[in-house]
Amino acid sequence: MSDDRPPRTLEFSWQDEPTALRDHASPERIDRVWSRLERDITTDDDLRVPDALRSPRPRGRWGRPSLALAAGFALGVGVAGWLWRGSAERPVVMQPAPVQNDAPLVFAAGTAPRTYPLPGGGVITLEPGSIVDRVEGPGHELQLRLVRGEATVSTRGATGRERVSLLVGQARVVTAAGSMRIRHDGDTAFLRVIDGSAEVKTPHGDQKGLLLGPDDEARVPVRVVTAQNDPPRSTPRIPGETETDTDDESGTTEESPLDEMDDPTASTPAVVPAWVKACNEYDFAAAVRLFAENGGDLAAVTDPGHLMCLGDGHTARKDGQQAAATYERVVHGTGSDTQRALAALELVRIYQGLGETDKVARYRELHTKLSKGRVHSAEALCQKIQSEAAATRADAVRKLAERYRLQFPNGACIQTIQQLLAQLAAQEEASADDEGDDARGDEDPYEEVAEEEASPGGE
Amino acid sequence: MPKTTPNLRLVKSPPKDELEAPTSSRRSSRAALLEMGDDQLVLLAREGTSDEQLRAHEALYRRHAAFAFNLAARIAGSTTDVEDVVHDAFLRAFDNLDNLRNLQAFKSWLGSIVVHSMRSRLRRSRWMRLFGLGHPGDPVDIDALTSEQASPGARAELAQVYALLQTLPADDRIAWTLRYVEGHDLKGTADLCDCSLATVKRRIRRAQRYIETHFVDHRDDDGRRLSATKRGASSSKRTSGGAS
Repeated sequence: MSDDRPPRTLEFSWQDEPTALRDHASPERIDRVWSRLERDITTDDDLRVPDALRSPRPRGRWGRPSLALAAGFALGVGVAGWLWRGSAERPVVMQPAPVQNDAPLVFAAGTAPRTYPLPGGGVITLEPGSIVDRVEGPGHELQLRLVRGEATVSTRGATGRERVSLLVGQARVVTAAGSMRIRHDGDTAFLRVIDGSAEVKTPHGDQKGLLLGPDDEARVPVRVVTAQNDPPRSTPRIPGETETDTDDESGTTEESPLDEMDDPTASTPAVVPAWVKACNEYDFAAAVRLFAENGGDLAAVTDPGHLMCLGDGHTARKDGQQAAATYERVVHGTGSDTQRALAALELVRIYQGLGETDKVARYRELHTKLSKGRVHSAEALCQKIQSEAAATRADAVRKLAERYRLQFPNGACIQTIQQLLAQLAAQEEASADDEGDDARGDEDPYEEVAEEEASPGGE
Repeated sequence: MPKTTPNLRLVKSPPKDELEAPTSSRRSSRAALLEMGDDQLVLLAREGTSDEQLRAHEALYRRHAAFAFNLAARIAGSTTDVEDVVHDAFLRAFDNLDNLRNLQAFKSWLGSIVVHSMRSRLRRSRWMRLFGLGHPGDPVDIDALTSEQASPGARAELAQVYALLQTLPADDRIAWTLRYVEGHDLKGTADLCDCSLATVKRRIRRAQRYIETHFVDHRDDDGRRLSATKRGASSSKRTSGGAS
């Protein structure tokens, strides 16, 4: 059959249906890739593009045969090596190797599993669609927060750090040496210890936590899902463990742990107190008001984040005494050093206003102590401001920026924050003005090149 | 009316004069970016201050991201790794902006990088399949390819066509996909494939013949659906040659 013979033109239904093909460019996807790009672009050039990506655009066609031969040979050798190693399926391992201070602050897996080295040793493997933030931990503790998805943390062979904490919602899983898999299921998390041991603390559990050994599994409540005055939920349970084995302070009867594992959606009613919702929406003043309407039992609030929220609310309402009482609970509580340091700083500010110099000195000293040697604290706060800015939570940005200025007056992020605030002001001004300025869409239809075009076979 | 996109971003070490620029001028510069042509944005991305470069990069990205995502997904037949491909393509494009001669051709240049990247992936997975290694290749994800509005017929056709395309060499598959799925004209297809018009026609023709031979058309010549038993006659009537 000659190549010159014009082929029959197939007609397909989708060609008559303009909307048959899916648009893959969702705004979320575009934003997600841009945030990756932005990070890469603003990083140092040497770290910016892997060598494999540094080549200019595809080479000239005359050089291709020899290149193809060489590439084919190299590919053959590579494939043979791969076959020899007998690896059927392995997740992608990111390079280069970890560097303590340059380890990423966010670990994320897009459409394929990803494995990242952890600072201090060990690796974290993320299932597709999973996100883990690196947050500060006290001392030599690495603290990670599972934002969504499923992750496997392995700390075997890690020597540069004492332990790893994995936060899931308000629950915390701590492991020193071993590996564990944890999945965020909304109100609960499913945890399986593969080897070693892990200690689990939940928002409702006791301070001691529950120790899990190899092959132990547990479904862990990760957030406060009942109203303030409701009895607290149970601590995590190991399947097969009897009711009396668990430390249930409320003494309430619980359903079978196995039942809970089989049906995660039935495990907890998703009732979040209104004041907590207000906290999550950064409406601190409203949070205080709603908290008071809900009984206002400050002693029942244990979460440092919620306490900080209430403290901020009292501050917003110019109620210095209440704010101080709330922040003091954070300072003397079990929150991270960062939270305690921030609360101490707030107390410095409050007591300065109240003229109590001895307390000012005391909390300033405490703040210095809690912040000492924490090389990432400024960076973490800067990162937090960044993420709040990306989410357009202007109030939170301003508040955190103010905190940063107080805490790190000579911090590296100061200039960035200034620019960010300027951008924020510009955007607010723009939104207050006519909308036509920014409402213009990115219409850019792919321009058709006008040419007389025969069918493919018509040449 | 609420604002839609925040577009807040951070820049490392911005110049001081930028920081102190009046708000109104910053706003107008942002609006001006949206109105700039690709050539102007490329120039700005090459020669501007670090802040201007980042803004130009973002403007170029947001303008052409949809094109790149759809291009990659439709060539691959699935959305697996599409974000990685697009990310790498933009990164490579931004890294090599100095090599772009025709500044107005950023889009097709970017497209050629996406196509090149997809071609490498397709060829790699094809080799792996030949050796019986690793995964059998990305499966055709028809739900990812088609929208909810697609008719059952269109979905079935796309599924069948993509299954056939998977067996074709990467070059032929890409050329045909660009031409008949993405809907580019021949010149645009040739530009994206970074090859001559004659070459791209040859590739499309090869793929077309193969699909003609193997595609099971469930419609008769009047557009009515055929039953499976009639397809042999229909197929033989229109078959013009062997494929592989």
